Amino acid sequence: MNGRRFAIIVFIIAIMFGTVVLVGISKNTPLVIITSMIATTIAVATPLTLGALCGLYCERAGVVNIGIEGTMLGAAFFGWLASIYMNTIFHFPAMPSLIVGVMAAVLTGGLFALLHAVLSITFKVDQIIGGTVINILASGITGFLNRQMFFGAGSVFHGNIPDSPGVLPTIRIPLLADIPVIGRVFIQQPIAWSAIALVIITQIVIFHTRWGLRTRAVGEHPRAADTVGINVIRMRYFNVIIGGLLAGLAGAYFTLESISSFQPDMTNGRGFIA
Amino acid sequence: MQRPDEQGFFKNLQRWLEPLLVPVLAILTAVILGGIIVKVVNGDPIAAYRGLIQGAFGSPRALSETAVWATPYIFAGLAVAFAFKGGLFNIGAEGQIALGAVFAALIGYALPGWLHTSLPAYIHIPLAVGMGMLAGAIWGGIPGALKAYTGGHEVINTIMMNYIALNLTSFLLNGPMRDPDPTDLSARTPEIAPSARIPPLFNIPGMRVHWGFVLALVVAVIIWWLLWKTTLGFEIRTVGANPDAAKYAGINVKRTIIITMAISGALAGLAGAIEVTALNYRHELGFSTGYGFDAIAIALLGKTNPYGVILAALLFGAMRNGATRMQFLTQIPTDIISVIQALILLFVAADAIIRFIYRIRAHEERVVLTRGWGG
Repeated sequence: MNGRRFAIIVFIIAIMFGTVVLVGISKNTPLVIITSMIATTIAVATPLTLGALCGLYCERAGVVNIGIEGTMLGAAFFGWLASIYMNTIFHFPAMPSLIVGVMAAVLTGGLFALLHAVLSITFKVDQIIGGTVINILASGITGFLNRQMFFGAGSVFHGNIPDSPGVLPTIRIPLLADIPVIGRVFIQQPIAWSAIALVIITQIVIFHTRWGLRTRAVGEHPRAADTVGINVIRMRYFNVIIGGLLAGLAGAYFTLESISSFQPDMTNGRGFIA
Repeated sequence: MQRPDEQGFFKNLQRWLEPLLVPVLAILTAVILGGIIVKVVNGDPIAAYRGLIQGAFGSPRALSETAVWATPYIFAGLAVAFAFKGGLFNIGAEGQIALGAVFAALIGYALPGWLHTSLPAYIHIPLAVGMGMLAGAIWGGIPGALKAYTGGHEVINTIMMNYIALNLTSFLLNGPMRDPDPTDLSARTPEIAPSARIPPLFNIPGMRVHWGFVLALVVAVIIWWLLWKTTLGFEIRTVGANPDAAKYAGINVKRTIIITMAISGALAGLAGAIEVTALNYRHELGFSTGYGFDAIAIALLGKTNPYGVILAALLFGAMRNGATRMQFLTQIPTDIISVIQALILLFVAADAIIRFIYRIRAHEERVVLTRGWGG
């Protein structure tokens, strides 16, 4: 990102923060407002960050993925379903069921991405159509299962939604969180933390490793990459699936970290924004 | 001795049937898979499909409702298919439909008040519908212009325009255009004037099928004519097939892209306008959710051919319509329809899968249908 563009983005953010501070200045001191805003921003931006990372991996490998929306929705649903199953049917305590839920969500994301990869790489379907298939499929299958499993005939839960094991607990960064006012920024939930970590890891992976170089080569000039002996198809498969795992984590944010329930179509366009 | 008549007949029949083969098999496979999914969650697939067919075709009224459902699908499917022909992907049908509906409703309820006079139907209806088309055309034309002059990808831009359109609609329906009647609690416009209403086809209570359905069929023919029998259509198809070649052939590629997107948007706007003027008589928030994406599936299933779009739209209309009855009879949620539709789209897009399952070789003269499942 070049300097001028960065400056413009910072300027826009500063104006937005400034407006909010001016509006709220009668009730709180500016510092408190800004801290709580940053803290909330990080939390709300989590799925967007992860979704965008998913897009980044796919795009760098030369696969357009507009199925991120559907992937997140599917992951949100199956992650939530898994955590409820563990908790209610197998009577696991809350924390392990949540972890299983996150794992299920990430796995779902990976599976959706695999479908996208099979469609767009192996069968050479138009990549945008592949993404659209995933979006419609995810919206349909989550809505269907949601109604069928909880309200339909023969439901394991006898028609009422069981209590879910809650949301993931927050993690404090020991010393930093103890700073008076500003410390609030350093108390976040695990998926938010991992999102931040993954941004840094992605930067390193894409720009400072052999894997990243190959990914970019495959995305920018597949024929040249093929000539120097890179397995284009394999690289694309891996990158799309890595992206899917990230989108799955983003999906987990909705049902396991933000609120502990599922609503049909709850991702509500966040995948497209990403 | 040869028998030219008979051979000619079979050759013709084959030529007509071959393009239908993959879509039909795709639908069949999707329906079977859908049945398996229903079975897995302890449903009865046979009863479910029986309810579906009953709800879609079981009575004159069911048929009428299927046509009512199919009408916006035909328009929206044509919109997406038309853009495909020009090599463009219009994901923004959703927003264009919403704006078309809003502006058709605006002209429908407010114009007599502005002019302080009542209008005859033959002026009022075209004005309302035309305004809806214009709104859709502008909303589709903007991404077209962005694509032509700045190279901004139309997929991203139409998606973003969807958000603008849907939030704009939400603002208008909650704010300036909201029904002033204080007893009306939902966010919707006032009812449009009787002079702006497109009448139903039959004057029987309960039969809601309206002249908009006929209009949809006529528009499909017009679009076919436009694409294959006019210079503009030739230009659009050439740009779609190869923009570079089109440029060297002296076609104004930028202009063609904008026109394609504008016509595509106008068709989507028409879908919204007809829904308002012929069916709901007002625009309500959130009525068109999903039309835009279903339209993509319809356009692909119809192989972006206007007549194919009609068939695909009728199928989707029948499925949506029958799903309500299916849910009523068997408690299978209507969302299964979305799953089946996604599977159909998947199999049509990746016809290699279908060709593999049914052992059809591509571009072969004779269509061989050997044993089914892995036989």
